[in-house]
Amino acid sequence: MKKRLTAMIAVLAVALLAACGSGNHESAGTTSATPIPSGTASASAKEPVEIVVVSQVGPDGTETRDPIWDRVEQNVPGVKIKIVWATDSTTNKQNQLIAAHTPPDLIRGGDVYTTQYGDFLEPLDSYLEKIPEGMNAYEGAIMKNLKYKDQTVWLPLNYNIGLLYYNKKLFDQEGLDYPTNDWTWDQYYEASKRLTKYDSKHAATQWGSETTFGWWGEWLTWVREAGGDFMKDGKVVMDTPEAIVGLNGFLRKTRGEDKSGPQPGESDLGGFAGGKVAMVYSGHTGNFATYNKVAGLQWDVVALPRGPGGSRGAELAVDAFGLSSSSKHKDKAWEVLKFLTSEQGMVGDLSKNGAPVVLKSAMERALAVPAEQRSNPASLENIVTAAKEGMILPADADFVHMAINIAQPEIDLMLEGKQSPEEAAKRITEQANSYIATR
Amino acid sequence: MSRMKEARYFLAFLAPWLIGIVVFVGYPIIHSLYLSFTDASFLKMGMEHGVGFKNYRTALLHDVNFGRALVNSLWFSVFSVPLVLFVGLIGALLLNRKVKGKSIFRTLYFLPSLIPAAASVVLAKSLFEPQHGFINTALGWFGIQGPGWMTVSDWALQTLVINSLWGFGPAMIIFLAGLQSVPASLYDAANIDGASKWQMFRNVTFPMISPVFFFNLVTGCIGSIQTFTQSFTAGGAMGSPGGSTLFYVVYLYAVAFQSPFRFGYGSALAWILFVIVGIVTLLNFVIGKKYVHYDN
Repeated sequence: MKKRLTAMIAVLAVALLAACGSGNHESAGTTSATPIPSGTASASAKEPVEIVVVSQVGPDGTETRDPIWDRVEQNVPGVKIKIVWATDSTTNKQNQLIAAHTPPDLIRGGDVYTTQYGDFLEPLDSYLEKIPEGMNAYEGAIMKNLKYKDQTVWLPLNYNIGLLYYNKKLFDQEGLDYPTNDWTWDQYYEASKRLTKYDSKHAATQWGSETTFGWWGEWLTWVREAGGDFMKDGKVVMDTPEAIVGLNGFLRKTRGEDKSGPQPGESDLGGFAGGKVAMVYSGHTGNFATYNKVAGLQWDVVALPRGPGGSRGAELAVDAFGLSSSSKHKDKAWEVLKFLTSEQGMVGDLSKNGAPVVLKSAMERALAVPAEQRSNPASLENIVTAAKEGMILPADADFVHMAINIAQPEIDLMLEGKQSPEEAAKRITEQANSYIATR
Repeated sequence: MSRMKEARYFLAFLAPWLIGIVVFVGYPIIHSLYLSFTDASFLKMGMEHGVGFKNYRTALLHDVNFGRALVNSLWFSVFSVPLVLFVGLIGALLLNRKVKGKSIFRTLYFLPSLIPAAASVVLAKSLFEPQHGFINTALGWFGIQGPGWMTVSDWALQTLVINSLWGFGPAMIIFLAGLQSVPASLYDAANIDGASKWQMFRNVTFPMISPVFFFNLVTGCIGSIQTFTQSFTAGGAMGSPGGSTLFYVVYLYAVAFQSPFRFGYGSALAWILFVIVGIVTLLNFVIGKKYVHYDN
């Protein structure tokens, strides 16, 4: 009886452990941090090495493998790409894998993620030295943003830069000249106001500009254009006179005499894609694909106006891949990384979202096409102009938290007219610096 | 079978559940208490250092979002729980009457509860959309200009409270079960004594369903303080607009599972919430002694 009981307990324990350990590692239905084997070290030389990457499921939840991974397998000998599917976001899935000490071999990120992932990324300088073009293959100004502790840790795919989008049709209807790279704030306000139309009940029927709510995308640009910034020397400095001028500039377009964009609670008329909004201030290159899907929307971009501080203030963010420092197959993973960031590898990226690539040769090829033969945006040169003066986000691990959870509520209240820019600036600075002091 | 053998069988069959609760519930609870006294980061688990009570001091004395999120959650709880209980009780009283198609009404009133909370908020966003939403359009028919609802900080939290009425179905069904267990003889006796409808409700119905009311109140309070989905769907991790929809559990999630991944601090927030929920529940039990009537 005793033996039977022992056997029964053993069976139950094994069953329980088996139940805990089961599950498809590549299942789309789970968001748990399932350990993922990073290839098999003992695999024979003939067997391809498994390189683990994270990829997001499609909008309908299907696990659609991006053709880029097939191209990798065709072009990088001895490599098999294993995808871990992310159901909510690639970043969340990567975070879960890193937390479970089973990071993917290639980590998707960019300069915004450097402080977050820096300790888990392999320094790439020694790898870059082995290729003939080295760092020179990429736009130098952008590459300097991809370092952690003085070592390059990311290889870039494409970049996002804040731009001034404009609807050509609405400008033509109003008889206005298109914006140019040398616009000032006043020229912008004047055009935006002229392009704003109201009906007999004073409800807007056309906006001069969109207003970006809910994150730092626009207000930080205004602050930087005025010569201010969010952080300096590890402290939040939103209460400087320059930063306050920037917040006033942002507010000015949603309230008062120069109002030309919606306030909180007002209809955005479908946004720029809806065709009733003439401009987007500090729109990002990630919008290209969305706007190009709208039939009849004729649009283009210029660099943002310079503010009183002399800066364009445009946020520059680089989309990149890094190599996990705990990868068991660093050399093979490097080959994959090299291919992904090569011109051949970037073809997929270019065709998908049209975002400007960081690889010099690929960008030169795009610029060689005559403007009239390009799709929107035709003025690719303006993007290059904007990128040259792009500003990266503050390199502080808690920037996103401070900007979203501390600053944004105060900005919202400012836009609602519940507090002045001076009050918002003071509260943001006090609260964020108090947070910094206690972290 | 001897008592010893019986005990062994008992333990053997209980083992899966016991192992499960120890491994998947007990251990995480104890571990989170440990983490709350460390600087643990979600991305750097196992590399934490002890920080004593720093996380608790930061939350209680320095973190503006802690106060904001706690006030929002308590505010939501104070208004949504009574509202849901009141509407649930009214619904149950009406459905307890002899009306035609009673079962159809029961089903209809319960149906919204089956809609996932996130979907109900998305639907509410559409209904309460300031310019073209049904609510403001309907108010416009009477010459009333509706507010900005979820898009302005003065109204966003109130809109979530109104939206919480979607979930009155379960409370109503439990009230209904309680109402149906009230003996008819008590109403007969009250009738003979000449009691009015209100007197019957106050002196017969409510005392008899008071345990059910108490159950709904306690579970409602615990659930509403821990509300996540409605807040997150409405205002994201920052509780837009103006932090007005930032609920406590959403803030905890934002701190621990999003950048900056402060798992230790998030654990401290979780334990503070545990204490708050414990105090609210204790208060409910103390007050409940005064009005809850048990047959035995």
